[in-house]
Amino acid sequence: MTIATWLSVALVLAGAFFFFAGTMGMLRFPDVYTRLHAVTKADNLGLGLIVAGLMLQAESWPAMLKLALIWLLALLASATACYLVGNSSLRSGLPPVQGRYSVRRNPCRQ
Amino acid sequence: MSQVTLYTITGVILFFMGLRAFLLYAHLVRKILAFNVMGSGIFLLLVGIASRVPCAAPDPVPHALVLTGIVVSVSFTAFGLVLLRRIYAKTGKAHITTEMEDTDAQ
Amino acid sequence: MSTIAWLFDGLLVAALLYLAWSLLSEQDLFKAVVLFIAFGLLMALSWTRLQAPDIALAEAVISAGLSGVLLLDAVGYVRGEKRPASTQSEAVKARRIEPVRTGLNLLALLFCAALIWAVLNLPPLDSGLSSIVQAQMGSAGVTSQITAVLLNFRGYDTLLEVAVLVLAAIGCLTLREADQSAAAAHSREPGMQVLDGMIQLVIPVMLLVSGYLLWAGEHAPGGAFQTGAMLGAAGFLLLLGNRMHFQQIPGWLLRISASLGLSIFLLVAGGIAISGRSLLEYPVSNAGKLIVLLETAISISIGSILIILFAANPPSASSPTIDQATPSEDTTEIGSK
Repeated sequence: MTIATWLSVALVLAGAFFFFAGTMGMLRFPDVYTRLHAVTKADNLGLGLIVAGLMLQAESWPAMLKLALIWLLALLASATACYLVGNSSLRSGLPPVQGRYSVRRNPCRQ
Repeated sequence: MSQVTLYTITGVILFFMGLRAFLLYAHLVRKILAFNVMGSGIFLLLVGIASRVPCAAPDPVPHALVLTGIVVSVSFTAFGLVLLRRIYAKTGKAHITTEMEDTDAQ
Repeated sequence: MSTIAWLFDGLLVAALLYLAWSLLSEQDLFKAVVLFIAFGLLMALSWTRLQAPDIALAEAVISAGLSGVLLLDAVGYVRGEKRPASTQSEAVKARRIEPVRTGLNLLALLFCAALIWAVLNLPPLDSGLSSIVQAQMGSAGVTSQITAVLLNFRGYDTLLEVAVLVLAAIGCLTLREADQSAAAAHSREPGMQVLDGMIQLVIPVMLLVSGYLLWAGEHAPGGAFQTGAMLGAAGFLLLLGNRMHFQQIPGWLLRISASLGLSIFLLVAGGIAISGRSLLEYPVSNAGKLIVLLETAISISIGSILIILFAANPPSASSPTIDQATPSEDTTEIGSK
């Protein structure tokens, strides 16, 4: 197992952790806006780390660049989708949850 | 039992889940969703059978059939949804009812 | 390693079955369609595990992307369905539906068990048609086995499939509602600049990737269907982002591009039949060129037909308002009013 392999494993595991964190946020946050925040930011960072880990294992420069292109495209699409969902929710009048929110006091969520 | 058999059995279960939902629910969108799930189940079954060859590469003929099937399934989903919109525009209902209605009244 | 593979496959299969059950029994239609999109993505993963990258590409674009858009638009269209008050009480309805539902469940379980037993008792491993295909690859004209099967050995199936697509497009064009002029003059909603910017960046990349997939189909996963699906997706994006209106497309261009695949395929078949060979038997020296020609025509066709299919299922013109009282729901079952 070379340095590159160990580094790949570490990066992929870190990416998986960020995905897990984003999903936890999506499940526990109270409304659309906070959930979007969690999912978009954490998941894209996780994807970037996983792609970085896979780039170290790629067999040629074109393959590495293609992987980086995948991440950039996913970033673009995900950011646009997040913005559109947030925008349409705001325009439809969905009020954001304000103030302090305690998950312990609101354990039962849909 | 190999992993491929696992996927084949999943395909069978998906098909019957979809069939049951297709027969049970009256709303047309749910029927179309059920039909798509049935299609996915059959495709899994086909590709599972294609992977049962002794050499490493799977049999390409069922793969080609499944590729054709996926494109055909999206076209009938779209056509079914156009019919759904027509039915909804004419009768105001998007589910199957047991009453006969006279929708040809001009 | 094998235990990890079993763990992964087991989790994937369990997730597939759970998602399918959730989406089929979900009463809120919007949730059901979103679950269906996730189901399509997991199916794409399954295809990769089953060594079918061509199918994975097609499934990800078509099933998760295009079907999802069509279904979401339909759910938005039937959102305001008025449910008439039932003439029967809940108890009577429940009594009528219970035997039907139990019988259906029983029959489904029975047949499912029978088919699973058949799957577990399939005849021993056989090379099927793959040995025949590999033996004939020299005269195929391409290096990829799936492209050879699709466009050369089983070209007849592809011809009929393109015909089915053209028929679906004709049906959609005939049956769709007249274009709402209000929707055509649908002014830009404020705040669409992000979508505009993304479309400007992404559409050229999509066209480039389509071209690459068409060329790569000769020797790698790719080919006509994936290219057509990408082109269709690019068309969907333009229509959804209001960069292109369906009425702006000249009618003759639409008709020619939609029927291009079928016409060229029929011309090639006719030419081969005239020269005395059997059905769609390409001359070996020209097989590669014919396949490239057919693939290009078919992908343009599939892209245009997908755009037509989308134009027949347009999104609703009015923007939605949050109304907790009437989400798109359905609680009716067959046998109950």
